[in-house]
Amino acid sequence: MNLRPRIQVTREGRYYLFVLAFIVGGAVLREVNLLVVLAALMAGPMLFSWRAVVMTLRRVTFRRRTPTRATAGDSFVVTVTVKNARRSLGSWALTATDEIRDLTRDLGDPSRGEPAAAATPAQVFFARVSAGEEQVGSYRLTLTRRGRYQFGPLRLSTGFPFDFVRGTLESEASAELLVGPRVGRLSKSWQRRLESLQLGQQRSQRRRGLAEGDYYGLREWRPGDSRRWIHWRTSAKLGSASVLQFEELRHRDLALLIDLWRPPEPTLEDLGYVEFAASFAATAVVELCRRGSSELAVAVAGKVSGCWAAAASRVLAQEILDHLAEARPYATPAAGTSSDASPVPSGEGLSAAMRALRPKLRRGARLVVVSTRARESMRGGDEAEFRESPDLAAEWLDVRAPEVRDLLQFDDAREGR
Amino acid sequence: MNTQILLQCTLAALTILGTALLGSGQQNMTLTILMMVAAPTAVACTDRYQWFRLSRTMANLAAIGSVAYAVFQFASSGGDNQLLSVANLLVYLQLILLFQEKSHRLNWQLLVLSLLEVVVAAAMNLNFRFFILLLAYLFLALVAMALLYVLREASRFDASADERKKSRGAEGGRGGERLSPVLRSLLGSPPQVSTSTTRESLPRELGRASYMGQVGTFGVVTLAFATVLFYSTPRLGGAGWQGSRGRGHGQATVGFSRQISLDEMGEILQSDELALRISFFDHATNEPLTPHNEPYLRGGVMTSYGDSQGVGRWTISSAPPRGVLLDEARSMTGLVRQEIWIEPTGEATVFGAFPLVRLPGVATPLRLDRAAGAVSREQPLSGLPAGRYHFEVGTYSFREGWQTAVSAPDLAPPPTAESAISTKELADCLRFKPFQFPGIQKLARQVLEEADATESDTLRKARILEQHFQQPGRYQYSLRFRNARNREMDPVEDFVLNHRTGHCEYFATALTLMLRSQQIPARLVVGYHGGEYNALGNYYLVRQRDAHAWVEVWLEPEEVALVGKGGLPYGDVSRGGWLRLDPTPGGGEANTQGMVWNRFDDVMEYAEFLWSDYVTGLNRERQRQTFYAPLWERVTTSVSAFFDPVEWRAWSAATLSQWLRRWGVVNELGDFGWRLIVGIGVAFTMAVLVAKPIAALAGRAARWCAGRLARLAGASLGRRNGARRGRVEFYERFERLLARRGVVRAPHQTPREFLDEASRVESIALHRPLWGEAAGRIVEAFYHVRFGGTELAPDEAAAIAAALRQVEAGLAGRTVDAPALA
Repeated sequence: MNLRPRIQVTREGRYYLFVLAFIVGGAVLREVNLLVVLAALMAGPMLFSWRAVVMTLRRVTFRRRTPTRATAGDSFVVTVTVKNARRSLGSWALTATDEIRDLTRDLGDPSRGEPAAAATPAQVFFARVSAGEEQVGSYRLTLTRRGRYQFGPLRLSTGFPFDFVRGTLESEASAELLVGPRVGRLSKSWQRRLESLQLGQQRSQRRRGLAEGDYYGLREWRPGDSRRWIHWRTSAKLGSASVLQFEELRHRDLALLIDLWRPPEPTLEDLGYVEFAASFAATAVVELCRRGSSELAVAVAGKVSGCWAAAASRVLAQEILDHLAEARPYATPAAGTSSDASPVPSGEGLSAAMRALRPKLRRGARLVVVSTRARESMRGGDEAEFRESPDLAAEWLDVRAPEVRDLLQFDDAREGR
Repeated sequence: MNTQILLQCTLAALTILGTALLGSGQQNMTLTILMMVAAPTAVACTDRYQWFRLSRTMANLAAIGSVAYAVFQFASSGGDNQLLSVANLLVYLQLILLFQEKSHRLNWQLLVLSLLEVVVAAAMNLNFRFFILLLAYLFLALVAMALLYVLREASRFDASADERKKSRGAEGGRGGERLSPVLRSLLGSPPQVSTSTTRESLPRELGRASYMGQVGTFGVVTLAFATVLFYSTPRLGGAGWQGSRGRGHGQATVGFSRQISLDEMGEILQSDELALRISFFDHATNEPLTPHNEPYLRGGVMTSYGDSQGVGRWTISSAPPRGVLLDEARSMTGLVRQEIWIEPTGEATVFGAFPLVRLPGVATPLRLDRAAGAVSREQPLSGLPAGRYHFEVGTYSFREGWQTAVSAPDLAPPPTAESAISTKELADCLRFKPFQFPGIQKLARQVLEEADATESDTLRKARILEQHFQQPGRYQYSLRFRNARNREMDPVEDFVLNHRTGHCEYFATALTLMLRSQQIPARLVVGYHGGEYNALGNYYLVRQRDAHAWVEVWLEPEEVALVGKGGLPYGDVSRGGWLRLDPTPGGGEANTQGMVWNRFDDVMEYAEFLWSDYVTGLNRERQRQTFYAPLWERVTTSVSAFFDPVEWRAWSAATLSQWLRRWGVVNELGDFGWRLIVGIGVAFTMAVLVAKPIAALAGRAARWCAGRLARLAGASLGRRNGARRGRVEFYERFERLLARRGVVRAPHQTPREFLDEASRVESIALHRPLWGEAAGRIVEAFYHVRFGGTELAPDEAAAIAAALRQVEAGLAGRTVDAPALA
């Protein structure tokens, strides 16, 4: 990739040119050779600044490397690599400037005309990149908000040696990073509670197929595998021992419904509860999937609802975290206001999430609703959805309640950051 | 050392140097001394220890006061002084800035003010020492600019850190302080970035990469570039190009006026001003000639002396004629070329070792005023051109390295003339009033009688009278003797009879009058004698203090012979000549042996000479001579040699044949052979040089034609079936919409790949929610049409049209209602 540098005369350069023009004018009008000498001496730095900038950026390539995913509050390193592909002549004083932009800023709502978050610059300085060499610089980034972040454009600029002229290369290759909600620590009591909910008090031990669980698939034989599990036909076909893999299938007896509701005119505190709910859900999902070996159903009620039901695994957790990263709260009229105002579109909100979740729930399944509102404040469609499922044993966690907020702790929050 | 302090030290040094340059221009070092005290004080007290700083209000008041004072100075002075008052204002402003807290902007202001100071100084000062200071200034300025750059780069990192802090502060200030710590931390803050580079580490990083070494290299390259630029920049306009001080109306010089008084000479003799430089060359060999005796450089001759109100005056009796051309040198034997540079003067008289002759083939616009015995340059109606006057002229007045005592008449007499000088000239040289100078006449007779030479020949009498003045203790050379004078007497009578103290003009006048009193034709000559010999440049540097007066006595041919060969020039003295007599005590052989400690002076003087000749005095003509003409000659010679078959043949004979013989290809390269080989070589070179550009042009033209044809064909087919031949109108429009935003599909990209890449392009990715879905529908529709072999139904076409509108609006960040694709 050979980029064409954009060359600009800086403010200092313009001052310098102005003085130079003044001297040239004086020299011509008054016919003073010493002023010509002075002008010639001054023209050199200006011209060589331009030349140095052009030469410094010629055949220089650069790229950025970012992680693909991150969690809010985590700190990570973004590396910038600059390569000078010239055979001779080093590149001096290069400044790589990256921009980090929050594409789904929670505090602003583009649909309401709120401005998007301003880009945050990050700079890396390279004093010298010798000819034919590559240098790696980095900056450390801490993203404290969940969301989708965009990196770029990445610019490489130099004003070497006097900053009269500044050359900039701009790479349009942008990168995106999904930042999941902040993951905290659940209290001990809730960890036990989750475990019991996950396993279920009425844990059904109905197993299909072999005693170890349901047939899941085939895999290569490993030392320790029972010979009973060898699938001889496949082994003969492949020429190596393949064994049956079983999965202990339990009832979908735990479901999480994350209700990211907010009032139509939310305060900062309301939005804080939304974030808390998202973090609570993320922490719970991570905790459940870390244990694995169970079926988990999760639904997110937000601007765009989502629903998952699968064996608890890291892949599932990642998928849910990805959704939670960009999940936006939805708004319905608060209790006591007219139900005609601000109707919730059919694809969003609690009712939509419930509609998506219900088919995936078994009878007697335990549903935990993590919500930003009290159950009593539900109205209209949302309330109706729950009325239609009288058999559903739902546990409602209103994150506004102080006792619920004590269930989740963050290390640095205690430090008062 | 801290970079900031280093910068302040450099800027302080720059301001001192700038003020020193200005001070040297205006011959006043008061402000320089003030700046030498103030600048280090400011660095220590204001920048380093921060003991004292001018507040902005104080600084503004001080600046207003300075401007008011400068305006007052400007209004109450005139000419150059007005420029000086502006220059002084720059110094005052710098003094104020030095004692303020430094910011990037303020540092730049200091630098610019200092630069403007140098500009003013450059307009007032032209000497070489200025240039040396200017070079020092250049390197200091480069260092200062480099440090400013380093600090500015460092401040970029500081600025971004400040910005982040500010944004964090702003975040907390939006009611966030009422939230619990948990909610506040979850709401988060803008991204926090930290990098290893800081304001402190960046200068170190650059220092490790030897940044300053690079700046030094820049300085050297800048000098070389400035040299080329200076000489190649055409000097348009008139013949000026000297500088304000160089275009004055000239300084006092001797020998040019048709009337001089004895006291004027005394003043001139106390001046160190440069008058001229003169070099002597053997014209035949072009070797420099260093005279063994200090040369006498004549300006003019005076024939009529009188006393007016107690002041002796020499005048030329006849009216100034237009002048005649100098004789041209007729023989190379003994011809000495004089190269003379006369400093700017308001007079047209030139100086040299007389008699002057024109050099063969050299146009010398000089005319001889026979009555004044002076040579002048031709004076145009518009006045003398400004600047130093340089000319070359010949003379025969040297023999074996000595300037001879006898010189031929200024013009060769007609062959029929009995004498080389006219009767009138002779009469003028004999004019003497005995009643006016009885003492002188009496003294002359007495001296001759004492030497028993009353009946001797002219030569002996002249020598005896000359030696009368040179006897030790009898006369005293002095420039300050006015108190000893008797105002009632003629100054020269008073000189020889009473105080016997005077300068060269008194001695020469006295001798002239004494010679005339004895019927010996004599005249007073004014000009320069001696000077400082510069061994490096092989020239005499003649100052005003070298002005001199001496005597010339006319010798008839038979008396000339008595002088002896050593005193005779190469010119024609067969019909008489002028014998030079110098009664002033002192003088003699030239001291051309440079002492060790004088060598430096020689170097500096020569540099000054070259500087003034090749730099400050570079005008259009000089530039043509020193730069354009040699360059043009070199180019034309090379080009003509390149296209000259004879040259090629000679080359092939000398080189090519030798190679071919060595390689055993052929023993003898005939006429056809060399033509063939050279032809092949030229063809090959041309092919290499020309083929590639031609091929590139042809390729481009072919691609253009192919593209044009394809478009024409596509348009033709498209009218019949828009979906054929890969041409889908709506998709092309879609691509055009993106192309307007700078996103162009590469030939290898499929529409889906292109869309995928476009979604990631920074400039339009922000609005992707507004156009992404519609774009996806358009691309899918393209595949259906292009590869599915179907055409769009009317409702589908309408939906695609709507999608295009949606994409167009979405790319601009706007939204439109778009019906779903049926």
